[in-house]
Amino acid sequence: MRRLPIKTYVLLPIVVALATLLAAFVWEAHRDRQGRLDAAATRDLHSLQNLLMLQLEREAATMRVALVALMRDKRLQAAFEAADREAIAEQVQPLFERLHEEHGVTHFYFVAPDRECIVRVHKPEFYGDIIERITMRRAEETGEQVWGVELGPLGTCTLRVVMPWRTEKGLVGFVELGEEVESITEKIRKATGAHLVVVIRKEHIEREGWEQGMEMLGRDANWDQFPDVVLVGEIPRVAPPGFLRTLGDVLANPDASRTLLSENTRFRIDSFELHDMAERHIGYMVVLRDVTEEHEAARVSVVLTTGLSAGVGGALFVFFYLLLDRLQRKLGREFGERQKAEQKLREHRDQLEETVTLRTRHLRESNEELQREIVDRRKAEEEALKLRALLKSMTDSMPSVLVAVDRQANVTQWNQQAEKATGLSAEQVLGKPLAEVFPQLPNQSERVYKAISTGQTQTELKVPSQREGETRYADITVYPLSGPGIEGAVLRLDDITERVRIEEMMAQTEKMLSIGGLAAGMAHEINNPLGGILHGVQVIQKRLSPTISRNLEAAREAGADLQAIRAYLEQREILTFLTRIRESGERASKIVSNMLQFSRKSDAHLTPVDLAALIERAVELAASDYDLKKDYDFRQIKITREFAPDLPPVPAVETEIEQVVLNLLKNAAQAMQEIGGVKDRRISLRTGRVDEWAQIEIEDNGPGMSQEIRKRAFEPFFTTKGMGDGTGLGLSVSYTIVTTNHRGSMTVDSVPGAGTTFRIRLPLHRNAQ
Amino acid sequence: MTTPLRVLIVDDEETLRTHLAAYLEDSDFDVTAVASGEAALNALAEGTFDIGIIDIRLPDIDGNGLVLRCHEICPSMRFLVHTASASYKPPDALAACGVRQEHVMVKPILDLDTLVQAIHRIA
Repeated sequence: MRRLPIKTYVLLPIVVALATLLAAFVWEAHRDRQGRLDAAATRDLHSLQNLLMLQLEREAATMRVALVALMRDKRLQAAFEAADREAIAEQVQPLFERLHEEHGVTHFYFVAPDRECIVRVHKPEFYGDIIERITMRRAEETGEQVWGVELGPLGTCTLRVVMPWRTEKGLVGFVELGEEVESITEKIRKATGAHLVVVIRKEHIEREGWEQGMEMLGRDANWDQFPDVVLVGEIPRVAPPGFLRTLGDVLANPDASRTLLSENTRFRIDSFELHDMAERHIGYMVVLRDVTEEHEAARVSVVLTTGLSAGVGGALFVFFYLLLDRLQRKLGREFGERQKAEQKLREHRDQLEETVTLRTRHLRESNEELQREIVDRRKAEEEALKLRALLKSMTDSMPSVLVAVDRQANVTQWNQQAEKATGLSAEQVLGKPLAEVFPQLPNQSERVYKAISTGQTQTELKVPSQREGETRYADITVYPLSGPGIEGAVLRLDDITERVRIEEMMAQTEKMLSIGGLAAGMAHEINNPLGGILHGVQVIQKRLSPTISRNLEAAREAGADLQAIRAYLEQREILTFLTRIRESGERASKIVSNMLQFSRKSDAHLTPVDLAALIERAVELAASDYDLKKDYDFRQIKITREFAPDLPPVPAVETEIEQVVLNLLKNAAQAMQEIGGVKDRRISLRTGRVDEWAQIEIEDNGPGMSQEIRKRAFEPFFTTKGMGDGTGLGLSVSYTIVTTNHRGSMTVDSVPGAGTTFRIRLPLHRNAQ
Repeated sequence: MTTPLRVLIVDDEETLRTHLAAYLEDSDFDVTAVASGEAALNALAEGTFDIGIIDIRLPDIDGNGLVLRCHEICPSMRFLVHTASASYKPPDALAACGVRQEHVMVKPILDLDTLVQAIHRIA
């Protein structure tokens, strides 16, 4: 059980406060006493100073009275007038002795008007000298009585009174009385108990005179005792040891006072300035006073005050102590009871705490469980997100269109390729029916249903669809999805248009080659009957010619006129039919010879060919081409040429390439002819070097062709020309010449309505291929 | 009037042969037309020819061989090869007899006048 330290808490500050208060009070009382003592001492000092002045005046007055009385003595007057030294001395000697004894007068002079000393009553053996003292001179000057303190040559201070002695005859001379200041201070000491000691400033006296004077007075003379002053008066007997040192301190700082303690006596030392009658500051009056009594009284007062205060303080302390003790006991009892109650409370609380801790632990455990579940779940979600992202990037990275659908054929997954193929984003299509978002591929929903219901992969190859006027092909596979909670299908769509095109191209090439092979075998057999036809027609035409004599002869022999026969034939258009037979035969022959081109091995000898010259020749051939001339004058087409000057000769079969170029020129002319309307008809011919290839470009501003036509341009037997206008082999033959025979490439660009550009590339180095 | 050039046509295809012969006769050549190599050699045994128009694919003798034989028999004779094969190229042996690519006429000859001119060129 803890005790309440109330006592300490309360008493300690009280004690401190009381002690502080007491100390402050005592100190203040002491200070007050001291201050009063100082004030009283200062006051006393002033009184003493005034007393000295008063005493001086009184002494001077006494001497004046004595002198006035003296001057009434006619006998003495006569003696003075006669300057009878002995008579004067004899008459005044008793008076002087009385004055000396009763009043301490020590000097008595009779001085002639010219200040010559007639009688020195106190020292009769010295006379006849001239008195130079200030008092005397001033009395001479003013003719009035003069008095004052004067510093003598021996360093002593004397109160002097000089009075002129006048008769009806005039000035007889001067009488003077003097008293040593020390005699006056002695009187003051007797009256007040204060010792007065005279010190004189060295500047007003001479050392020799002073030492002489001191010797005369039987005192110790120490000129160097103080720096500026010398001691003239006698050191008081009561003066304590160290007086002289303290005196030095006082003289160094004349305004301050010093206290000197000696045994049981306390002295106070003060000073005030001393002036002679000429108002010269001749020295100081040092005052030594016994202040023991006053001091003791003050001390007693302080002690009494202190004692009283301490008593009251103690009583207060005791009172508080007892009061607090009782209070503490009472509080202690209550405190104990409360502690008991608190103890009980604490026990209850501990119990409660235990319960709470238990509950908290349970709560925490279930909380942690929950936290773990959250973490697991978050992980699972992250995993799911990751998986989804992985799935998406996987499906996006596939070159195929991948579309996942549910069992109702609604879209659930849509990859980037699908977006590209349809132009619809995943957000736009998710959840929508497949048929709605992929209308260009009908019947896919059925396929999906079938795949799901049978669990079998459904495949359909090379499904055509139309896009931007172009047929595209796709392989479509529908994979049924199976798994817990998963029902649906994945639709995979591979755009195989390019592959189909390549396949077609390859097929085309193969076709050409097989045509070539067939043609080679066929040509002989066809050419013979063709020869029969064509040669036959030519024989007929020849035999109908009127210019051949045999014909004329035969006609005549037959009894007919050749001219008439011809007229008949013309009328019946037989000659025209013959011509048509011949033309048809020629076309057939051309087809055969073109077909033979496909089979031709590149055994023709490659020679360096100047492409620019070759093109020029082709242009000339085009201009003179009979077939072309029929329909269109090639010379009306503006031909522009941009031939690279630095193009080296190209290894080629000159006639073949020439045929290709000519073919293209003819095609261009025919195409422009076809639409008719083009005014500014133009063919641009360009050569250039692209890496290791020589390139020929033939560009026209004709009608151009659609994508569909462009793609089939090189196909054998494909033609856009009217029936009978083309063999459908021109471009495919050219293509074969360039690609197979020369291992070059041939492409065509076309913008419908703007023109067509054919581009032929031939390798510059054969071995590079 | 000068003596007409004597032309020997060798072709197994009757129609072609007769048509060609008719045309050349009308063009004032002295034409003999036979259907085989053997017949050609027989004809050569009987007389000389200035020009031989020889089909390459013959039933008995190879046209090239026939040209060489004819040349042996009648060195002054000049030849034109008349063939249905567009890819025909005269072998080196024929070059010795003066038969080059320009002397190859591929059937059908679209304008028989070119043949007449060719004959005149080599005769």
